[in-house]
Amino acid sequence: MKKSAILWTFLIVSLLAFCGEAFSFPLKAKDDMGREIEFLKKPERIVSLAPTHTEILFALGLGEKVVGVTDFCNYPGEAEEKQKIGGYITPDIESIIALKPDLILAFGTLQQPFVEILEKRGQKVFYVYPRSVKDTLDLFERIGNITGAKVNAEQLKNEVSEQIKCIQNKIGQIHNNKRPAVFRVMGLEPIGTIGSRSFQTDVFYHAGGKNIFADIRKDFFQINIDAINEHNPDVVIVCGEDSEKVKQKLKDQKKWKTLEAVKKDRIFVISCDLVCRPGPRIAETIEKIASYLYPDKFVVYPERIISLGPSITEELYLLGVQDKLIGCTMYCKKPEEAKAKEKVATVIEVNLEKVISLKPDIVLATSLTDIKSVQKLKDLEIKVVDFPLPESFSQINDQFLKLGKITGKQKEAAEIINIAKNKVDLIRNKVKDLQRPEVFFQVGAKPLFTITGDSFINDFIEYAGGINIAENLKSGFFSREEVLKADPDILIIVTMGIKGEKEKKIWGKYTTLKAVKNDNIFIIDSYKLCSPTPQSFVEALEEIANILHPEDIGE
Amino acid sequence: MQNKVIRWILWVLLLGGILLGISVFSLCVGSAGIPVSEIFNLILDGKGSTGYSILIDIRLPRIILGFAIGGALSLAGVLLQGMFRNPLVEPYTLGISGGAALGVCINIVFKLNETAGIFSFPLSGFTGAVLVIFLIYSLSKKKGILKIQGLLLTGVMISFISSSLIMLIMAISRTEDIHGIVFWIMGSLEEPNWALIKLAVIIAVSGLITSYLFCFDLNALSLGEEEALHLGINTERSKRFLFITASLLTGCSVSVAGIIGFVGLIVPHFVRMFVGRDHRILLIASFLTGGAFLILCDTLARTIISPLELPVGVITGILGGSLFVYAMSKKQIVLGGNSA
Repeated sequence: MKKSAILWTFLIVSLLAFCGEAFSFPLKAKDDMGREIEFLKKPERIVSLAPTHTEILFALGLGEKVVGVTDFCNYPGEAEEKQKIGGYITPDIESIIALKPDLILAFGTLQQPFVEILEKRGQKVFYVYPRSVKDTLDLFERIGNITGAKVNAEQLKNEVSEQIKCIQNKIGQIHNNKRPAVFRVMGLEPIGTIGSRSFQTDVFYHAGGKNIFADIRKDFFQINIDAINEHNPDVVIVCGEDSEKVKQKLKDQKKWKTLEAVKKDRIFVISCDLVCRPGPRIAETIEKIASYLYPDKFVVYPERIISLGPSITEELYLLGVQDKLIGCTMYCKKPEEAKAKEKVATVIEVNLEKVISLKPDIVLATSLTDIKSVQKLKDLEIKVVDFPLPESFSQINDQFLKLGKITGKQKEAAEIINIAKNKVDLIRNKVKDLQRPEVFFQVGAKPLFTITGDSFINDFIEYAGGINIAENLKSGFFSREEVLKADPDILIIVTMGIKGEKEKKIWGKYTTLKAVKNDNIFIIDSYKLCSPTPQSFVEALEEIANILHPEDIGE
Repeated sequence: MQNKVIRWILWVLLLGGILLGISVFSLCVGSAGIPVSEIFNLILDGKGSTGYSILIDIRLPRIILGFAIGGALSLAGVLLQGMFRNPLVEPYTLGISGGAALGVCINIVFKLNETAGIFSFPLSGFTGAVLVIFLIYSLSKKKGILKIQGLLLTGVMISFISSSLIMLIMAISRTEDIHGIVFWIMGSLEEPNWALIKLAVIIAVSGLITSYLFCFDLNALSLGEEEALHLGINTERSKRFLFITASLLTGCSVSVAGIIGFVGLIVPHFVRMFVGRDHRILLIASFLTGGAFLILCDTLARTIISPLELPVGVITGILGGSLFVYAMSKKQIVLGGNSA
């Protein structure tokens, strides 16, 4: 008896918690036309008449219940698969009704006539028009409330307000007079703009700016160029998807040329999908605008990176920004996943068409990259950063740090370098007082080619406690005669396009060599040696130290 | 006579049509995968879109440069083959390319390009070419007479010397520099500088016009120097002029696009098979065919193993060589200009 009582209580409590939201129905809610609307039960078929609503519904996890959206509802991607009911100001009433919705969400003054029509046809319509950032945050709750998604709505509201707070902390306190004056272009011919009754004015305020027409109590109105000039805006913000084209169109019109902001090219184009929707992405919008107004406080890190060097690719993975890597060379084979990335080049030759069509924010080139290609990319206003071949371990680290800075992962880069440095120091300490064997490092067979002091590979030998017999040479060409004369203690063959075993046999014929007598010929895989990241440097160093001082290093 | 002119005009129209067709084809294909149906719209829409940028900033310059370089090299080939009456002569036999390559090598090794900028490559290539031209020219001139066979031998030798010097430079230079040199020697139509492209076109076209003034001299020269002299040709003057024109065309091409082999050798032979050996038509036809051929080869080089690119010389060699051997086996003709 007791047991079943506990079971029952448990069941009921969990059921209550589970359906808690369902129990809040029936409920009454006021919409922005001042009407009190009664909801008898939780809506199951919702039609959204605005992209903002669609975004909110999906953010609240109600995507399943959305049965109809407008032609403009493109976010999130799933929304595009929903039934279309027409445009924002041209919704098709019949197809809405055919969907048998139990809730229709309308938005903005332009839709007020439809609200009445739909209502007359017996539909339940909830109309909203947020006028500020706070209204937007409240809107999440209001929609959550009438759709039975209260918990999610609260969470969404908290998340977005947290993001906004974060952005405002970055901007810091700004006196009203110091706020950059923003002019928002809402139409070119005739010129349209927004006043204090548009939420965008508040968005600009939250981004640390001020709308030059913030004192006009309207949402949208027309204005002439002289009135704009009177206020002399610091920046012009316009919305569009193809920023270059939109900018050009604006610049092409004569009257705009009188504006100081246009003359100074202080025009910013932001996606209409972001700036015109008081939805869950409002924090993103605020951050974008804040980054225009305060560029030094918002470093914009590249989102689309193309790497033209195998080691750069490897380093990007080390830094954990592999998702931003959109293209690399054929030879980027480390780590394994890099093989799946789009191939845009060999180490030296770049397919410019491919690079451009991928629209990278930044291209990372090496000193092997064809300079003509680099020049062309720069001419096309693509940012190219050069990473010359490192000449030493410290240069490897410097470049890694540079890469960290570029990708916004400076801290991670510094950490990885620190670990690598410590490991290197450890090995160097171990071999410090040991006898230094003489080493010949072979990287090419015909003709015989070795490593000189100006390559980071020389550091391997030095740090591992050896002496490179070719360190002071200018060029890597080396004759066998010289090797016999120098008689190194150890021979290391790197399989860089040469057959290691075959080379080993050839050396084996020279029985006078110390290295041959003591069987001190070793073969190392070139992949380990030749793509120098701080991490792989340590790994290769460990291997070489092991060859040079097998007893003292050990595994 | 009347018949001949009509036939020639038809040839020029046909070749011009082919050139245009290949150019349009080249504009339409590439690794970016822009659908052909959109290309027209993209161009009409104008600046700003990525597609437009690929078409106009990447593909178009290559097509124009391919036209200029292909035309110039073929023209130089016709001039030299006609003048030397030797079927194996091509623009690069004379050591001009070697000189240009040497100039660029020196530039790379001494890092002149870092101070003088990207423009310094073609400049140093051209300087090298011009120096070699003067060297060959003055070595082959004896008592005011240009010895044609001597000219050829000196050219071949200078070519060997400069390639050895290049190897010497490569042997003693740093790895990264070697890459730069190898690159340049492979040849490519990728040229970021519009001014250079325009210059190449101007030089190629004015080369065509200048050499056309000498088409009768060339016809006479192909009978033999002595015969030409008897026909009343001022052979010294025309030899000098033709040699310098061909050299400048080659030097200019090499300095902009690197060494692209086979075009100057094969195209003139190929064209001669079809239009005959009269230089009045041969010059124009070779120029047009060379341009079309190089554009086609470059298009293939861009697309065959896309997204990677082959050096265009690979395609000119394989395609040109095999096409030529095939055509030769089908059409029994005498090579070169030994007989009229």
